[in-house]
Amino acid sequence: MQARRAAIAVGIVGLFAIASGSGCGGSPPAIPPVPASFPVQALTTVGSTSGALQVALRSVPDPPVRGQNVGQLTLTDGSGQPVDGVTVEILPWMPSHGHGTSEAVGVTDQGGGVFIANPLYLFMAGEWQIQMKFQGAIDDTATATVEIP
Amino acid sequence: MTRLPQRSRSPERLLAAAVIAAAMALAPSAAHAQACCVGTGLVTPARLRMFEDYAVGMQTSVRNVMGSFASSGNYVASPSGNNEVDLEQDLLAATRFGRHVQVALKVPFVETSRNDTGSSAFGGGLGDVAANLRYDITFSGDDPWVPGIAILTGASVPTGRTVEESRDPAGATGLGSYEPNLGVALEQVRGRMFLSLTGFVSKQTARSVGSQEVSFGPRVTGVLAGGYAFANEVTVGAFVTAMRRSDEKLVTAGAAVAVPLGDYWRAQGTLSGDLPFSGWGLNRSTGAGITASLLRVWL
Repeated sequence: MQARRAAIAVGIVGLFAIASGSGCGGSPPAIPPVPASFPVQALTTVGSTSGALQVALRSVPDPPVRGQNVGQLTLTDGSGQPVDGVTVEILPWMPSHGHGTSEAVGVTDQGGGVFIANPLYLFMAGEWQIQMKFQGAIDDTATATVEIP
Repeated sequence: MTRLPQRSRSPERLLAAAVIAAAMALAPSAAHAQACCVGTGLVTPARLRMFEDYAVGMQTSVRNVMGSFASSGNYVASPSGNNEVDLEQDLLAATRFGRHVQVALKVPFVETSRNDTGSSAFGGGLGDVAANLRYDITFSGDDPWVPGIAILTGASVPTGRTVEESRDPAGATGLGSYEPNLGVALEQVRGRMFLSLTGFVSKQTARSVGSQEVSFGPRVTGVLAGGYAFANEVTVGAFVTAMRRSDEKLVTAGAAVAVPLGDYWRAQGTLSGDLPFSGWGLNRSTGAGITASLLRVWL
């Protein structure tokens, strides 16, 4: 009798395992088009870890929303001159939850120290960090914080 | 249907069963929210009564996200057009090893439906499987003054899919690392009324995301529950759950009803909601949901 019960339990577990195997990770959202212009006023401006860079972050929509956003970074040095010759990596991060997002951020160099970050997929309400890593003419990092309602 | 032995139907046992029903009601509030960020339930609803040897069951829940707490603690309702519904179905199993020890297993299957600016998604899959062990030192109802005291421990295993592994965050079903927990439960009965207080500390183990090593602080959870058991063993109760981890905080309240369906089946329903008062939460989405479960027990 106990063997029968155990078999029933194992069978149910097996059914769930099969069902779980058919689970899906969802479909990636479409990457939004890059807007023709960004707001004049930066969403936030942060200094880099070394202090050598100032990074102005703008977004469309402004302020950023839950879901798809397009970011623009403007890099300047201590004298306010644009910084070229760097590559930029961006990682959106929810520090309180300890996770990032499912969509890798594509970064396009527009020249003149301007970079487009698309998409910034901030899919959950709360505090997000926009973690930035710079390599090339200068190796540095910076972190901007945005709040998504 | 075979009736239970008379000793099992003593008033003390009925009341103990009522307390158990209350404890069963506690699990859903903490469990069914944001699969990417919130650990699997600390208490499995498949808790065995004294005279039960095995149990298997299923539980299903739905939760609607209604707003969120900012990092400042301010509550913000979800913007128009943004909505999220969290669904979960669990397979539950439990068995007993002697009078004092019981272990339980929970296999969750998690889905999320999300609509926000620029995207709409649905995804899901196997969540983080959790195993729990309960060691009853004393039993409620055995002594009018000494409460039932139990040590609780368990862990969730990262069998789910993380946000980073998903094509869309709606497909996230797990934390990405283990989360062991340790707790203590106190239960006492007075007449047909009961009260229980449960405290847990859990800690998610570190995980790697790309080149980043992420560590987590301890999560402290407290649950206060009380209720009333009717003569026919139908039990109604209410509970409040408070969770705190580093810069996260959330308080949830709810009500539950447990209904015996003969000697071998139990049904339970829970209605719960996160309290949307500014200052009562941090960095968490809030919502309300319902849970229904059905258990088959063997004596």
